[in-house]
Amino acid sequence: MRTGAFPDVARAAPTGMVAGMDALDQETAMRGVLSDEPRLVGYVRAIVGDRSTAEDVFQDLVMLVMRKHADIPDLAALAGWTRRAARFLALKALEKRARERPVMDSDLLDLLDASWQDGGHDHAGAPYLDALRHCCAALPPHAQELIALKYTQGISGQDIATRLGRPLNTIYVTLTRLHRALESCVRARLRRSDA
Amino acid sequence: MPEDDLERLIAAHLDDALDADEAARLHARLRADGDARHLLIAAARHAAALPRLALEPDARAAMPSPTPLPEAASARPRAPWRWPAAAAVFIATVGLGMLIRTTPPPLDLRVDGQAQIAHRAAESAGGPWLHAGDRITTSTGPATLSWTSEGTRLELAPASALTVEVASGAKRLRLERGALQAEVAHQPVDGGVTIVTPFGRVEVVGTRFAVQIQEHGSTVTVERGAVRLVAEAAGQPAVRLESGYAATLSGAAISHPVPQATAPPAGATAAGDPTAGSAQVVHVGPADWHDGAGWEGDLVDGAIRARLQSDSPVTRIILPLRRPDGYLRLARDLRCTLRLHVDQATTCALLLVCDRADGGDWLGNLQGERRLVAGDQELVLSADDLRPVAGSGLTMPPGSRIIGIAVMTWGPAADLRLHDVELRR
Repeated sequence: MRTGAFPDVARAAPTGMVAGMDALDQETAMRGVLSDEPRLVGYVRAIVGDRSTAEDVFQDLVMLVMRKHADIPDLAALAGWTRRAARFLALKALEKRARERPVMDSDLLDLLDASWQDGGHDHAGAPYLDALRHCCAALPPHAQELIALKYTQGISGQDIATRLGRPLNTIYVTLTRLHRALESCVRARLRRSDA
Repeated sequence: MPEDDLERLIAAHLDDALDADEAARLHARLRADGDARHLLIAAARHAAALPRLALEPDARAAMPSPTPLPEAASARPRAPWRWPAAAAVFIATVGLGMLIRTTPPPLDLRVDGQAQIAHRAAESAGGPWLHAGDRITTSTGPATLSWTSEGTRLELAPASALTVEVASGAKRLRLERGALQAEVAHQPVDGGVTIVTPFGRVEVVGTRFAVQIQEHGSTVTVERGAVRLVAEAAGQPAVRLESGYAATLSGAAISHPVPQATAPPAGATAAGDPTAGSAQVVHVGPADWHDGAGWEGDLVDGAIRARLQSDSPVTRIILPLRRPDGYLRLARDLRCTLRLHVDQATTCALLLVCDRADGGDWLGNLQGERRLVAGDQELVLSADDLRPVAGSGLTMPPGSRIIGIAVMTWGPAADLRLHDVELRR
């Protein structure tokens, strides 16, 4: 039986126990972050570079969302919240490396964030993966082989260069040009599917 | 910077192969050139997504599959302090609608359900098939590990983590947190299943049992067959636990086995009556008072006095309910009795803080309210008087654990003295 308006449950009840009552529930938050894995890992990878660190950061991010889902007001806020958290976790992961070589500073990360949002890089999920799949299949055989070596087997650029008998610089330049071509193809497909 | 130098640096960055000078050059270019930033972002996104596509059968068919390099040539230098860096690591969501599908390697240990898999083993092919070294974590849903050749199954509860230490023969798995239930088929002489917990290990020949890691020990219940309990501390005698009995590994010792009906909850809530095997009565009064550690209020004249909140016109007491004999669980016959004194007419509320039946994270709060007159009171609330806190939209299933209570007054905030509270079912 209700006996009148409760003054302020969120503040009056135990801290952390009620504060999330209007927030994102854990299951929705977890589904959201897991379904957004390719985009988030890509974002982290742009900062940290290597795959293992990026995937470690994503694991940490999943654990953070499990614990802090009540801090996220709703599903619409999830993408921004996870990207900010991923940035923080990525920088934390790079702390040790910062002694060995420079890591991206906050100004550069702000610029990257702005490019991320302005450049239409927020497309995610099945349409993006479908487009990427089709664009990969359309690459010439030698390009597909290079993609397969790098991303099916996870072989380093140096080892690919050794295996193929090509200069390392050539391998790197070719890989980035393939990414450029794939991006152009993916965007074109996504535009067509939107139209 | 020439364009091909930028292209080289971006690929080297994503290959973790930049030296300090190259990193500085790349950062300078990225600061100055928006197109360079877009190129890096696109390459990083593809680099994150392509390994997933590469594991799909359709993509494998579409892409030539290169001959594997010798292991020495393909091994990448990894930082030894990071466990996922021991080998290629990726995270997969396994279950219906999963994106990753693989052709099963010649293995018979696989995981199904909603789990994250960290494939640490060098020979891992990814997907649901597991090797020694792989780690499985669950969050909101359970996962099942099964040895398909022998019918042994482990049901890993939500919010659990487990590492496969030995995947075949004398199998060994390390339960790091959470709970599991096991259905172990009869094992050959060189077989067996061992569940290692922070407080000791459970050795199994063929049985059905459950393990739940709690704060101070691992509770084991045996439904069928028998298990052998070995405490973490050296020199402690092993204990054989028969069906229908439960015991707790606490690191230094093993508790005396007791019939399951009176045992702590362990993982017993995962099947059958979710309220079975838990506390029947919780009584909290001034004698139980702790200063700090989540408790809120003041011990005054033999009663717990509510504190006036600084940011709202409410007085409040908070009582955590963690107990050595298990939590009280929500049930239809729950009855809450509070003996208290208020100095003026007020509205008083009892708030039950609940988490999931399996011990997962906070689930929501139930609240019951009464208008009280001034003076000594006995406030009785039944389960029917309790409602989810406004706005939460949550319903609390029977079996949810009651992990804490709050007693509050407002309209106006009264001087509340709590003599005791009893929750009984």
